[in-house]
Amino acid sequence: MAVTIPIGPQHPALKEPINLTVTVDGETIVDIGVRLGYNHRGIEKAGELGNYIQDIYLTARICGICSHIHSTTFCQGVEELLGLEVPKRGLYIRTLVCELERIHSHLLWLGVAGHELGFDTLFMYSWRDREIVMDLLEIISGNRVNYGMNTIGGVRRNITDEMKPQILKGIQQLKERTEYYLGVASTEVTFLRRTEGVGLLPKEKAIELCACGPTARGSGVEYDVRRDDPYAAYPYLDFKVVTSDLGDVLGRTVVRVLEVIESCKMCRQIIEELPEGEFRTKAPRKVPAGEVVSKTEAPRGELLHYIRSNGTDHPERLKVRTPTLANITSVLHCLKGGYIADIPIVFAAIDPCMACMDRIMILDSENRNRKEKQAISWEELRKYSMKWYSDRYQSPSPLKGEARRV
Amino acid sequence: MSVASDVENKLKETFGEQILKVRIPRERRIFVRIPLPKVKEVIDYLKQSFGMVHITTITAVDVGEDIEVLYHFFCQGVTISLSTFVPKTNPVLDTITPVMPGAILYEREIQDLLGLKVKDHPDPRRLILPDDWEEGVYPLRKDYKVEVKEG
Amino acid sequence: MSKIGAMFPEISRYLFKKRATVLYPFERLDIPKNFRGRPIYDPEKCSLKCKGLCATDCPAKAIIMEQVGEEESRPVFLLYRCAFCGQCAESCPFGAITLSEEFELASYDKESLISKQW
Repeated sequence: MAVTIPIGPQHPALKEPINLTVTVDGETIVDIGVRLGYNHRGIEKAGELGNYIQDIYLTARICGICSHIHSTTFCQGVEELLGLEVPKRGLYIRTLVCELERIHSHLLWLGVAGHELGFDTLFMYSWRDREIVMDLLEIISGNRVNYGMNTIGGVRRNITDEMKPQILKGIQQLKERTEYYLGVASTEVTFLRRTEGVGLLPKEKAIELCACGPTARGSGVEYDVRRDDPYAAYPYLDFKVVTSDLGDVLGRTVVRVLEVIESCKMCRQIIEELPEGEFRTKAPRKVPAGEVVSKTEAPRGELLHYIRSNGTDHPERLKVRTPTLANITSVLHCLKGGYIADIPIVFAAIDPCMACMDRIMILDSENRNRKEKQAISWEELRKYSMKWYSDRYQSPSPLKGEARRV
Repeated sequence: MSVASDVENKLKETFGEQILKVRIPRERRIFVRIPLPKVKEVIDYLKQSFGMVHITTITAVDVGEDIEVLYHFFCQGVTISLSTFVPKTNPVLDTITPVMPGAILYEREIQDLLGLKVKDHPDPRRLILPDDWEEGVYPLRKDYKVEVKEG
Repeated sequence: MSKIGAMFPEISRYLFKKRATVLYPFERLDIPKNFRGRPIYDPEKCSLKCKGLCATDCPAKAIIMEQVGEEESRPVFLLYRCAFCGQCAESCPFGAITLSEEFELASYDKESLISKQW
């Protein structure tokens, strides 16, 4: 009894427009297709039309949550084309905002994950505590989102001495709160039952499908652009790359929560070691012809901008590869063989950002022609569902134990 | 010796004249230009001898008569960009998805936006453009003009 | 070790604490120092002859230059397009534009959001 259900593009379980075509056999997903493009805005073409200054703000608006990392990637690419040396203080401030943004994004994700699991208390509390980091970003940049901190040649606003104690205090609070949530996520049954063994992505598969960011690190792939291809102030900072061998949604949660704690330490180090001096240099308007690959670690994973210049004040080509696009093939792999009730959380576990990515359609069409029909009475169905759920919790992983049929 | 120059030497040793141009602009970056028919072979070689399994993306750039296609890989801390030229008159290139499963979406993306035809692609349907988009119009080619409204 | 209601002690603790939100618009939070609100134009400082660097760099194309003399032009701010990035203030070589703390700019008609400050 295979049934095809469309979910989205507008659906209560989804936060952004996306269309999933799910073929289910009972509760088990046998086939899944994704259709995107509902948010495509032609940003790469728009980037060719504007000048470099305008493109900083254009790239910042690719995504609302990780706006700073996009403009960082763009600016450091243009700086490399110009051969411009950014003052160290500028790099440190840029990195500080990057890390605060990562904390903000991961805490937001934790709330969304809690919400998708039906654990709304976690959602409310983690979002309340996310206000601390939003306030810090507001103190530094003046805005809660779309900070507008980057410019070619450094950052636009300085960190004054009176900000420092405020930031340190906020970071300390955030660290304590995140440690508390780590405890919640690893002990609360509501959370564990919905995440353990759900959406398994084995390490080999993660490597093969070129997953990146916390999705890959949650499957034990040790790949982090901050360490493997250091940029901005990362060469001067001490941090460790967090990985988990679990490979399920819980693994991805643990990686993200531990990354927040790691980011808090980095922020503290940045504030304590903030170099004196200028925070920006003047950049020429025209950029000499050339090409550059600029890479950064966005909260969701590896981000790449390819910029080709032609000697004028606007780029010849601007190419953006966002982490969600890289992870979408992995998430489809995770969903297949899982249960329909797990779609929201497995999908949310890669922290998808449709506004960033928005460009895809995959349909794996094996098992499409099954037309078995099955009649079942209400009482039978009730018994079946009770047995099904009790069986499920004896073998929590949908991939380990096969779904039992009546 | 850095990985980038190691890649350069090994490639020149194996493929000789076929490696048209190598540029190492800074540490951890290498740009290699190769002829179109050699793409799959070079990728396969790098996969075998350097363990290159991660493709970041494929960029295509309209450069007038041709379309330049760049494959960005990441291996051993180095971003390897292989570039090749595809003539607009016959914009066909072979798929690399069998060797690099992660490339499936990026190949479809360049197919949509720059009108390249990827031969033997497992799933050559539209990816980004809407279903009712006009055939033969490719938004990222330079002849596609955008109307800019002021005010 | 797993348990039910791991957040319960936390919730009961916050039951009697001050609420986390404020009752806007009756209560207001402080506006941060670096806030970027409605752009303010100083006609005295504007050189009139720079052909609008602010308009060239505006990423939202929210500034249009209006001819006021033979070779002179002044900026008109289209607040309905403005992204409040503050690039105009940065691009202006004469410091004629500053960003204020005014943020409640909602309006019923588009006309009132065209700001000509000269």
